Amino acid sequence: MTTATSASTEAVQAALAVEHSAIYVLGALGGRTSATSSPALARALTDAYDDHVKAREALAAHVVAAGIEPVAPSAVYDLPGRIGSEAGISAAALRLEQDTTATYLSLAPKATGSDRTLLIGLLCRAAARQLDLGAKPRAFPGT
Amino acid sequence: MLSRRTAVGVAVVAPLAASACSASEMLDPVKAPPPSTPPAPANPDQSVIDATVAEILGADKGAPSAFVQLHRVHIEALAPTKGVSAASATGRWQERQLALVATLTAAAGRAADPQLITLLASAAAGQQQLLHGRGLA
Repeated sequence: MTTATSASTEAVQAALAVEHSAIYVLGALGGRTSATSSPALARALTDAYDDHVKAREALAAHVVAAGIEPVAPSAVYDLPGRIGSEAGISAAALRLEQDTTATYLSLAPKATGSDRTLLIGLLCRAAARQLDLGAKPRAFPGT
Repeated sequence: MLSRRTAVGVAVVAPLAASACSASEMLDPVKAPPPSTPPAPANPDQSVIDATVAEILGADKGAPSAFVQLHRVHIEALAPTKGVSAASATGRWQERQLALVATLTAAAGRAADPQLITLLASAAAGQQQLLHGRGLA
């Protein structure tokens, strides 16, 4: 395996680690959100959670196809602070998506070929999810 | 009159200097390129930039001003060669805006410069955001 290929796979593995974390945090945020009293936020969190699960599966499949064992999730992740209210949960979810977008953008140049294409596709989805959580469109998301 | 310490220092330095001179004389002089050699391009990714900007301009026809304004920002950041003309536009404006995400992603895949890759990938995400905000993606 060449060095470029290794760096590319490492970028995909790093993205996979981000998705593990995002799924954990979004699960915790969703568990603190009432679908009755905050239906819009509950829906946004559910959609984001489902999207991150799909991203995790796509990234894991890519790593497996490269003949490497996918990075495993940690047993526990730090939760964001101030998530005791709807506004706090919404803000935390938006920060998560902004961080995810920025991470994908930093990883994309390190990947090559189909790895890079996959990372940019997931970057675009993360950027789009920001709007569901109250963000305004930007010319260059993730920067 | 030299002190003892200075005299010793000169004695030590002198052979080194002589050695350096003789080494430089042994090096081959730098050869100038033959006159037929074309100049190196200023930016090897310029063709990727220009082709992408042509596609962006082609997608603008009939598109709402929000997309056109976004594309102006993207084009300015990409810094294309002067005089790049729009690629031929086919299909509805919505389809062209959707296709632009794939165009920008493919360009990021072809680019070599990490900064350009970042720029193109982020521009694709910006395009995706606008599409999503309008319920088009």
